[in-house]
Amino acid sequence: MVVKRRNWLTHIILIALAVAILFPIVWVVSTSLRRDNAAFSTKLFSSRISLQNYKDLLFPEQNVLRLLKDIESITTNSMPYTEKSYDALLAKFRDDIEGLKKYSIETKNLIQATDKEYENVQQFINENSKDLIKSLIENANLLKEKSKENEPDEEKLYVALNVLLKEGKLKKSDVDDYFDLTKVDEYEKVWEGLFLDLSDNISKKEDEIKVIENQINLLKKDLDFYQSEYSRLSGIINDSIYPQFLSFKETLTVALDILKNSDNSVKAFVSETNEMEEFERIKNYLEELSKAKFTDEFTEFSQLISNLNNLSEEILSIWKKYPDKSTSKYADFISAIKLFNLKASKQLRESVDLIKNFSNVVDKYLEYSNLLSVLTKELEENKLKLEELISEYERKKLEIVDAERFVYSVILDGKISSFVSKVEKYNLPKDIRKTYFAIKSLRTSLNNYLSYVNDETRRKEMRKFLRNMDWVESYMNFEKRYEAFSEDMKEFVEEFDKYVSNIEEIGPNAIKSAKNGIKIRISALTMLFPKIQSDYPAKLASNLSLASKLAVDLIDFLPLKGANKSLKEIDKRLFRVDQIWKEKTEHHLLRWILNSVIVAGLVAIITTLVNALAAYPFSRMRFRGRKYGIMSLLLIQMFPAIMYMVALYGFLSFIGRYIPILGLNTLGGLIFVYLGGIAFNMYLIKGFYDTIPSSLEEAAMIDGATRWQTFWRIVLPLASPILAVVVILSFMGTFNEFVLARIILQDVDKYTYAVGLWTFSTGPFETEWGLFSAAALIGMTPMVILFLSMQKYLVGGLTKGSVKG
Amino acid sequence: MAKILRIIGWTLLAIFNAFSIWGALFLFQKGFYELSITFFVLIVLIDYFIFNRKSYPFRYMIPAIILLFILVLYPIAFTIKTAFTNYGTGHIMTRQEVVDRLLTDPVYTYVPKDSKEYNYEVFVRFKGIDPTEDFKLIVITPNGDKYIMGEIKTVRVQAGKMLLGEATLKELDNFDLIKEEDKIIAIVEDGKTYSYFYSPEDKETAINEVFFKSKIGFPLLSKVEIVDPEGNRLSMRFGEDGSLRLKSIRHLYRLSLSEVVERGKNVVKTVLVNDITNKPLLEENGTFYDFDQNGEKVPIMGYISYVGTKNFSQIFTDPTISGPFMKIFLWNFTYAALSVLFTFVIGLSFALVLNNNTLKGRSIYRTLLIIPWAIPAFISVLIWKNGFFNETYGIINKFIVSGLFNKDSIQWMTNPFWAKVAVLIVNTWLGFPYMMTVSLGALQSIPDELYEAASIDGASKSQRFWKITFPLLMTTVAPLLVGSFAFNFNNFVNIYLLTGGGPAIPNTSTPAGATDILISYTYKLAFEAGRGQDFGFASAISILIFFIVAGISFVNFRISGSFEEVNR
Repeated sequence: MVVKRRNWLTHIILIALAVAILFPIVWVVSTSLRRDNAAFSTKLFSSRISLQNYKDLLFPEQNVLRLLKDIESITTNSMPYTEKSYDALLAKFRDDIEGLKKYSIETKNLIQATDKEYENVQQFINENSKDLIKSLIENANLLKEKSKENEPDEEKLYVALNVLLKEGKLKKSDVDDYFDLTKVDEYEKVWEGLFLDLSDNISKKEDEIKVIENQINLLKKDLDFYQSEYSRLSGIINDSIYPQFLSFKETLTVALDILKNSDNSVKAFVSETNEMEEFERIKNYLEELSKAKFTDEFTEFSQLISNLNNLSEEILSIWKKYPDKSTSKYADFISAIKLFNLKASKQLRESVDLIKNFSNVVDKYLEYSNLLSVLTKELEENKLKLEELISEYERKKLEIVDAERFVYSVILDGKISSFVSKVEKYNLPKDIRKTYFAIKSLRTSLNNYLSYVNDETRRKEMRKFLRNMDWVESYMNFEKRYEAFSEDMKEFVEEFDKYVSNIEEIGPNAIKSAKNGIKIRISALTMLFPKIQSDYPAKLASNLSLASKLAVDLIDFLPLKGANKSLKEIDKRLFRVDQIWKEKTEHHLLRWILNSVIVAGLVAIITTLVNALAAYPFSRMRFRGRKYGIMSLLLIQMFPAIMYMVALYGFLSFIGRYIPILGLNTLGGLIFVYLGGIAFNMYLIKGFYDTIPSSLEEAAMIDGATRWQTFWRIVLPLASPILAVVVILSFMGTFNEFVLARIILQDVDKYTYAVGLWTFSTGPFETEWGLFSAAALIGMTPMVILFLSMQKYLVGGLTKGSVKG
Repeated sequence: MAKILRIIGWTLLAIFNAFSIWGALFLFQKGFYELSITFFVLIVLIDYFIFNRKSYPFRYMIPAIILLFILVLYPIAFTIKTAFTNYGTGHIMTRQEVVDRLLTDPVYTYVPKDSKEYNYEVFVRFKGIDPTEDFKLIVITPNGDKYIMGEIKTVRVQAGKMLLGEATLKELDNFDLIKEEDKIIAIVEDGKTYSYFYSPEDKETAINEVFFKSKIGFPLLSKVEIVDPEGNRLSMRFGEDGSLRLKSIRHLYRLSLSEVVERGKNVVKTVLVNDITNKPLLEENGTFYDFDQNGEKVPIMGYISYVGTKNFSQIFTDPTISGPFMKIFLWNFTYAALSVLFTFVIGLSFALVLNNNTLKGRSIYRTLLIIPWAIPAFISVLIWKNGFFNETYGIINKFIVSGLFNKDSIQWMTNPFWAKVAVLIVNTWLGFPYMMTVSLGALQSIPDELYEAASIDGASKSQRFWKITFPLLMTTVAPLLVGSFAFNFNNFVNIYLLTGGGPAIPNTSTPAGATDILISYTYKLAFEAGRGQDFGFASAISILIFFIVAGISFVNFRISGSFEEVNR
């Protein structure tokens, strides 16, 4: 008994583990059958199932766009129809046109059918309007029940109400139906006691802060002005004034030098000019300048100015005491001063204004920036205070939070009652919009109330009741989208029919003239392409896919299940319409599988034959190098085979120039490269040969057979089971090879299955999970079946230590 | 009958020999030295096998040996050779090819200052109203003499395409010309009429310029040097207005002999000399360098040269390589070891559970659990990568991490730690059925009597497992564990398809990634051209891998005694 119960537990654990482990396969199967976009879906599995992914991969339908492209190449007699005769072209053309017409009719039928189903849905809604409304009311009432709150004492209630009104969260009109607003005034005193000072303080502080902020803004504007002025002026000073002043200094130093040196020069006549008066005037400028204020940036400059000032002062004082003013030295001095005057007079006069202005700017700038920092500090302090006040206010409010919640619950209550009384009179689907807006206003009240509810589960529960009404919105949108689509599509098809009959008329002539070398493009055809390639997806397909999605949503959301069949039908038919009209990319999966089968098949057969031959002497004969032969084969296998490609790549591209089928980017080249992997299965065959009794061969040899004949006639036929196994094993191995194929093959239509599947998992296909998983499943199913049926040999080989998976 | 067969056989052998020798010589001539030697060795071996009675057993192996030599031994030899060279992006051609290229390639020509510009007229044949690429060119020298360009002779070919052609000028007298007021409007040759089509000076033909430039002038004539009677070399070069002009050109580089001091000896060597500056080119590290106006070295073109053991030593000396290399190396061992550990533990647990005779439906469970092994690995890995580990859409992030636990999405592909976790998860999933199968087989071969004896002696369950099951199991399974380690050590597909080796390790000069193992690193070095290929370094690493795997396998053979089996 005990053992049995244990087994039962083991079974459960094993099943659970197996499910977990095989989940990726379950996922692949389910995803390959989905027809919504699994990568973007919020659901792990979907009920919208179809084989469309497989159809697209294996038997792609010639849908409208493909037919049109086909017709285009027929009528212009281009690839792949260049070689066809006129009659064959005409027949194909007629076929294609027939196809187009068939699609047009099919679409019309589909639309007609969906229209009918749509009417059914509407009718269903209409018939069950009472019940549906009842369910809405039920949910509303459930909400009401859940939102019951204990009534707080009157004082708190009205204080809370007062607070909400004062804060502007509620308007009087919102609440005067439910509360006696005169009571609010009654309890005004209490409110004042609790909150008046605080709220007054807060609003005062807020005002203060606003004032300061305004001041700061103004200041900043001024500061900006001075800032730019400062940088302008300092640029001028640095670039032009400073170097000039430097040269002034040089001149003055020279003059002073002359003046200072003891005078022993010859007499000379010096015409007394007014140079020194001029110099004095200039000196005044300098004096004025030295009083100007500078920033740290200009310490050098201000020093230079005071230097100049000192120099000129010294010159003046010495000059005044100068004894003999008629020496050649003095003449030199005067000429130096003259030079200085010439250079400096205008320049200094101008600089005085500028520098005065500059120091003014500096003053202002400093003043304002000081002011600014004071103000910012003040602002920060105020803000801090405000925060304190607010937090105090909030703390006080905590006492009345229950009351506030009660207020909102009462409002919600009232809203629900009015909602019920309103909705009761409605008739669906006529009043669907009104219902929607009623629900919308209900939602705002609910959200207001829920912001006071801390209990997560309760919030979720109440939201759920509201979500139970979501179908109204879905239905409203569904109606809108579907009607728009149905109308547009009918129009679209009608227009399409006209174009098609036009093409049908002109087509034969176009083919004839194309055959004669003059290619005509049929204008109706060229006009149709943009219609289907851009108008359809932009205008129609968006409405279609939305309507389709909403139909499926409604299946889940509608409280009554009676319309599900019709909705499902609508979804299914709309999907079909989309398949007919949308642009589909071409897939090469069949080609890839064929390539893989060719490559793997040839490689398997060739390597098996080569191996069967090579294994024979290892099994039957004793010769020098036998042991080392096997050992070196084993050793060779350990070299990373990927590196072979560096050598073989060059070799293949070389060979390809002389033998094109063995070149790069060809299946032949790939097969050739794969033949290098012969060593893998030789050991398996040798092991089987060992089990064939050699007495058979000996008997044959006695009868006169040669060694080769015994091998060919006796051993090989007897070994056919293992050869079959080896063929299948190496077929599987080659089929699953990815790396070398990826390096050698470049064109999409030359890919093997492995490389092709890889492209499905990258780039633009990364999120096309349906196609990817269908392609993966198509490839892996036969491999899994083969593997499971070959299990015995694989496992046997494993434990012998020769083959590895 | 037998005689005829014999004759046919000998003839076939003779033809085979002749063909192979021709092939080997041909390959040698084309520069495939290793392959040519391989061919020669093959011929000698095969003939030896056929003519020597003692080597009869080898005759059965001839096809296998041919394939092995060409497709395995030759690449291995090539790889070993490459490991000592700088073969890779920028060093693709041999020195001789590079010299040829520098001497002949039209890219390495210049228009000298005293270049003369020649006017020309193009005449083409028409097919219907469409011009064809069959053309004649009349060259008008600055003196006004007119010549017709003769046939283009190919001077140098590279990769099957003409690299450089040459043509001479012929007198007009030898041709039938149709003139209209002195102007040649057509040339007739062998009944073919070439009509006046384009001339750069003739504005009326400007409409034909595009066709001439794109079909004849640029692809063909810019690679042809036309020699005029004075010996000037002319070629098409783009003029300032974008049209093709016929200008006299000179080659930028020429060969010259010069004495070079090499290893203390004066050696006379051929060097390339820049025609403008008259300075010889510098050769360093397998690259030709020219000098610009400031005397700075400018690399021009590299060639394959032997670099000694640099590819091996840089693994240890170059910090931008050794750092990531050591990371990859460690991770490779961790990855292989953890893969073996996880797969073995999980596989053995399943095997222990399933090795219960009283359990019903054992084979069903076994078959179900074996499926991950049965699915081709690359498909499974792509499924995991695409559906499960995708950071935005993957269902692990979407439904488990953020759906069930409300956590932030896990960065499976961009965070090194999680990338490693992902790789290990997938590898464990892929590998445990193998371990399960192997352990199951080993468990079944343990005789029941041992357990009976043990239970009589009062051994507990865990004692029975650790004292009987586990030691006996290990004797059969241990070599397989080592083999599995070696297999996972080189398990390229899993890494490459799942993470591509990423996320990249920062601050490296090679494309190293956090989940890269040696083999995927090698692959990226050799075949992913993103940062330039480095076949030399890749080959060096693959030799290293070979020694590691061979070492592991040697241990394995010691454990399992495979060699004794061979001698049976």
